[in-house]
Amino acid sequence: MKRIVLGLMVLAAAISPLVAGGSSEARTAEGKEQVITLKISHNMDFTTIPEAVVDAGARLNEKYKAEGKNIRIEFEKDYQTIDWTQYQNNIVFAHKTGDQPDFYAISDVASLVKNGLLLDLTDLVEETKDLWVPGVFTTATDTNGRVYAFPPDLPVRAIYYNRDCLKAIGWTDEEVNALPGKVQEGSFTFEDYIALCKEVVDKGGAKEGLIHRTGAGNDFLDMIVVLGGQYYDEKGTLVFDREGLKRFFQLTYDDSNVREITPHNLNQQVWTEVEKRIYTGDAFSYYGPVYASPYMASAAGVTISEFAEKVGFIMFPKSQYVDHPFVYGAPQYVGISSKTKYPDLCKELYRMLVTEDTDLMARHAATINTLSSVKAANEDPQMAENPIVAATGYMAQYALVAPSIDGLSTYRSELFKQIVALELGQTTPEKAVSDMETQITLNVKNVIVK
Amino acid sequence: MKRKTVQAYTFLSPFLVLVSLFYLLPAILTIIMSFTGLDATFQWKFVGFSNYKKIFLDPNNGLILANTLVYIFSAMVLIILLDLFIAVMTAYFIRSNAWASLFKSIIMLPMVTPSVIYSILWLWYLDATENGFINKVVHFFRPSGSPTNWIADYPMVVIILVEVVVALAYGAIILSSAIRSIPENQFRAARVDGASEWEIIRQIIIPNISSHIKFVVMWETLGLMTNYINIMLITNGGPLNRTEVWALSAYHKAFVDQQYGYGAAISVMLILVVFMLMLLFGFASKRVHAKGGKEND
Repeated sequence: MKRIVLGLMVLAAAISPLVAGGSSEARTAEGKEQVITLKISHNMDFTTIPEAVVDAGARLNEKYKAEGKNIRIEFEKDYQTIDWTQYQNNIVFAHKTGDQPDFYAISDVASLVKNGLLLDLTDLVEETKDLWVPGVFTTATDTNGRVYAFPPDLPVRAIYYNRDCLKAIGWTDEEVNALPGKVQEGSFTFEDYIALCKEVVDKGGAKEGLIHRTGAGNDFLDMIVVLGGQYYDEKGTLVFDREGLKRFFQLTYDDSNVREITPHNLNQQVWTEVEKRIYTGDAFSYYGPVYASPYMASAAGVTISEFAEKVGFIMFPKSQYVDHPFVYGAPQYVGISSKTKYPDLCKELYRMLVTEDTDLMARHAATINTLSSVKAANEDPQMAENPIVAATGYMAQYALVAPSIDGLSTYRSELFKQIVALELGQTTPEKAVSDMETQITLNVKNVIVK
Repeated sequence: MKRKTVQAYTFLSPFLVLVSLFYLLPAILTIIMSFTGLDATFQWKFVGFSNYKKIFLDPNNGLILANTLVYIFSAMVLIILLDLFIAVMTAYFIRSNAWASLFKSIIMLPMVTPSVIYSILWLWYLDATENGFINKVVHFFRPSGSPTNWIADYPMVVIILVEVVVALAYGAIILSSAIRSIPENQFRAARVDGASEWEIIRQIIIPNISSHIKFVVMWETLGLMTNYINIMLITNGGPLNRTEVWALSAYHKAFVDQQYGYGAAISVMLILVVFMLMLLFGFASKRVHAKGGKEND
């Protein structure tokens, strides 16, 4: 018996170096090769973001090999699809227990910066500043001007419209195709757009003129802006703009109850049924992120190319309150842990993506039908092959990026509550503003009411 | 005797440790958290009673409290009445075990179905367009009518109905087992005395299963007070807080707005009410037992 126990102990001692791994660790294997294991975590569908880093790592390995350096980078991947709040909480707790990933996805840059969990990337950004699309670091920059997150893309929110609906009311192909250009040059305004939605419904081009997502989201904030409203200041403080909100709530109420271009019951419908209506032409237009188009295409049972043939995109047009068209971009930020053992190596991988390996950035952007945050990636042939990106590429120069705003999630959820009630005709724009103000001033510590 | 008691406590001690770890400790942490401004940064900064003050300052909380009371009371009355009806039908009138079991198995289906799937089914049923199942059925009988927006027009009715259907099986099974345990000679004697079926239910069945009914009431009350998953998935408290109940409000404040401290304060209020209710139930059952004891003397 003793022999067996002794034998097992010897065996365990012999194999333990083989099975021992560990993340973020350098170990020397046979032939004195130094293996560096980096932990990379991601949340939600777009795994082409972490895969770009992983592939940059593979290229760096090739480079090391060519230079005769005996170093190899390995990745330990942890890709999840969980609620963003839960994911970010897990990241915070992982840092508290010392089990943090080196790279991770971010939902709220500001709170992670406050916690000191993100590596300062300011030097990398300074070094590569001419290579980026302007403004992509706005949300990633703190009040001292330090940059803490890496924007792998520039998904914009725009207005979708169904071409067939316009043809059904007598527009020619030329007129339909000229619409994005008219918005771009400013000859087609937001007021024209709302009137067009009504005209399409009145003339039988579509059952619904304008639809939106059926949950809280940033899309509604763009509507506030196009109506001259403000929801943040230059420092990233939440702004409660009574007049701007009143105009937005009035528009929301009228769209459903007066103009009847948005269904009263939109928010009580099953989303998969709603999202296919832009392609089918039951709805003329929709506002939301362009990267949602593959989901809409899939709901309608068509390919993205078929979708792009029927559906076009315009920016938020200029209006009587805003003197230029715009789109808002919301990069899906990722970052490096402030506790990583390899800050220089991690930053080098990001640097490669912005300099010599922009094709990996383009691959990600083209896969998810969005613009890239890096200028060179937007010029990559992969981007031109994507019909959605090809149709929206010009919007990059009009893209605005909002800073990180404390209390925005509360603002969004209270805003959506009022939208639902307004569309149902269960509240008035005045009461909606007043009720929302009560909740925002009560629940958000730092808010400017104007 | 003493040794036996020591042994019993020894056997129980691992469970006491587990209960302390997984029930008491989180409750204590929640109480501590309720005095902090804990938010997305997870920094514990003590803010005194400001979260509790906020509960009283928030004008929505009056509506939320009223919603909670209406929801619990209406659902409870329906659940108990239907439980009694099903129990009497399956344990007293239908004497065949096979049919009774089949029926009970069917009503158990919503209880064993995951909440997400169950809620999605309801969303499909209640879809506000002509594609919704219920609207299709209504349209079949009334082709000229327009589709009804069930969730927006009758939100409280919808969530009560959803909860009643889920909760039905548990109480029905307990009560039907209780009815089956009533000695048969009591029923025979009543029939010999010429009692009607209604009198048998009122004078024999209900008094015999009253302690079981109380247990079901307590159990369901606690469940209705703390369970909000189906409401969250179907109405998410809307439209405009019309179905926001206390427990869901704690969830929204903590996990949507990331005001963990405030959410914890709302939860503490709930814990206090639950605790008081449990004491009340305990006190009430003691009085019933004492009364029963005196009557027997």
